[in-house]
Amino acid sequence: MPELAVSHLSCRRNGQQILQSSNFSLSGGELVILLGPNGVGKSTLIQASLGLVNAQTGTVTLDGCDVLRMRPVERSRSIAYLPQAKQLAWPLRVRDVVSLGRYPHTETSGGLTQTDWNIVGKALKDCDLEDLADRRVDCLSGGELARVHVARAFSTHAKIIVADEPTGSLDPRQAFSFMNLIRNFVTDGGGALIVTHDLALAHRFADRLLWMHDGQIVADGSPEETFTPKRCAEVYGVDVTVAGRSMTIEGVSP
Amino acid sequence: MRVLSSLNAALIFFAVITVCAACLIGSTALPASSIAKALVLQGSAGDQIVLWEIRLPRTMAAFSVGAALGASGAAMQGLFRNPLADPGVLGVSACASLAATVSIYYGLTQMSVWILPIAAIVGALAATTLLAVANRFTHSVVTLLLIGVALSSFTAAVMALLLNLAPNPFSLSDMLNWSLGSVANRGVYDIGLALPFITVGLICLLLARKGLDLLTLGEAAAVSLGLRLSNHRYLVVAGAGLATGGAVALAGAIGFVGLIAPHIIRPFVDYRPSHLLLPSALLGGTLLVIADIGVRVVPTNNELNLGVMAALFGAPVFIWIVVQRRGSYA
Repeated sequence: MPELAVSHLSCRRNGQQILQSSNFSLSGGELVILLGPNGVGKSTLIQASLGLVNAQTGTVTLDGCDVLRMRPVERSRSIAYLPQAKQLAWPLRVRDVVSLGRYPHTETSGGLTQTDWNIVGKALKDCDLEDLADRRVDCLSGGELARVHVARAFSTHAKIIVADEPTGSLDPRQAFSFMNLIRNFVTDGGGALIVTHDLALAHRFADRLLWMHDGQIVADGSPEETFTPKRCAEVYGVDVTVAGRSMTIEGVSP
Repeated sequence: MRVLSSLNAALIFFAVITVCAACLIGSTALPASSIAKALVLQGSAGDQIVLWEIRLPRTMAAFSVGAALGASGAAMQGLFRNPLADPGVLGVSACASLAATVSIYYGLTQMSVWILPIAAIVGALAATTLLAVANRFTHSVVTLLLIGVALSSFTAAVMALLLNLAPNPFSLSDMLNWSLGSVANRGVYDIGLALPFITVGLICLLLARKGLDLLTLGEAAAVSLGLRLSNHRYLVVAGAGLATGGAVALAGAIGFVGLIAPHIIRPFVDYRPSHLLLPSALLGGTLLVIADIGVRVVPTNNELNLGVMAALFGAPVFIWIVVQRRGSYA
């Protein structure tokens, strides 16, 4: 089982402390959701954890290896990252976008082998994209595009997937089917760290919740333990009622 | 993969036909049989001179320049993720030709024959570096183009200043040739001075091709897939600078080839930036050879500059591409 351990990670940007000594861990078979309002440092936390932005202090290890000192290609074989959804620069075909996920494995050898293309085909199938494989990405809906990015991450065969607000622009059905894909990945032994603003989705799907406020992780635990009306009021400034596996936002807290 | 190689084969075939046509057409009417004889070093000495010292070098110069600009345009479009990037539009060619003109104006070129191509390359590298740095701070398609516009205006102003200070009419017409571009009277020797730089530039660009594919996903995703972003940027900047600088050293500033060639090729390679470079080079070369044939057959008093011909066709196509984009994909 893979284990990603982040300890005492701090980050400054333009003279401002964005991230303060944050700790968390992520194991295989675990779906962790990172919650917190806009501008609280969630994106910085995950980018610093992957070595995509430079951290001031702190260490990140994956199965004991230092992630921040790994060769980029080596790191990218173990951790797949889905940044906040952005339009692709060129309208490539779906199959070609998914095949970019094989880059970490084919970087030195040149082209993709038949084995690589089989892996790409499997990723397309797992994400229910077989019928769309030859479409251009500019003809896809938001939900289909989100699945293309997941398929790209799957085709890397990384042990860990980190996604930044993947469900931000999706309707409820698409958001649920996206989270189901991630759930399947986790069931197969992978570890996933997902950023979302959708409290209901987080409450339903997460094995563990990380709550972030003012550049710090203020709570870390199962939804049952940490998803309380008090914490929602503190972190998001909203009143919620929680009943079992479901929750409702009642309004803005005073 | 097979689509790509058959596309390249077709483009090579097309290029060979065009080069043959360019050898057959010229101000002196020569029958095809004389040209064929001259090609195998038979026939009259005059025919051999026309083919080997005038038409063929000129055609090869046009092809090399077009190929360098086509590949540079394709690579810059990939790096900036912007279908309107092109050495001409972004002012890279203008900077290179300014640097070349300065080196002539101050007599630096008398020190060594390599000074001229090196000056052009330094000018091109300065411009590509500036654009790459600017692109780090802004990801807006429009801002980058505006920087290109400013760069072009600035170099045009400095060029005009130099023209005002030009000591004699000869250097004035010389400078005009640099800013309008031409491959007339280029010999094997001139090509030999530029080709090494163009070749190294094209190799740099080809080495960077996979990274350009990754950049389709955006910089953060490309880095997360293992791309060393700054190394990759250096490679593209150096490649485009060397190729464009070499092209300018050979022919002066010629615009729009680097814009149009990739635009035509893109649908045939499924928009993959990595598959775009070689076909764009082949098509760019062919287009410029065709433009050079046009320059020779259009009945004007003085021969038209090749850059003028390229702009006459290129500028309307540029506008057409801009209108087509409607804020999304090219």
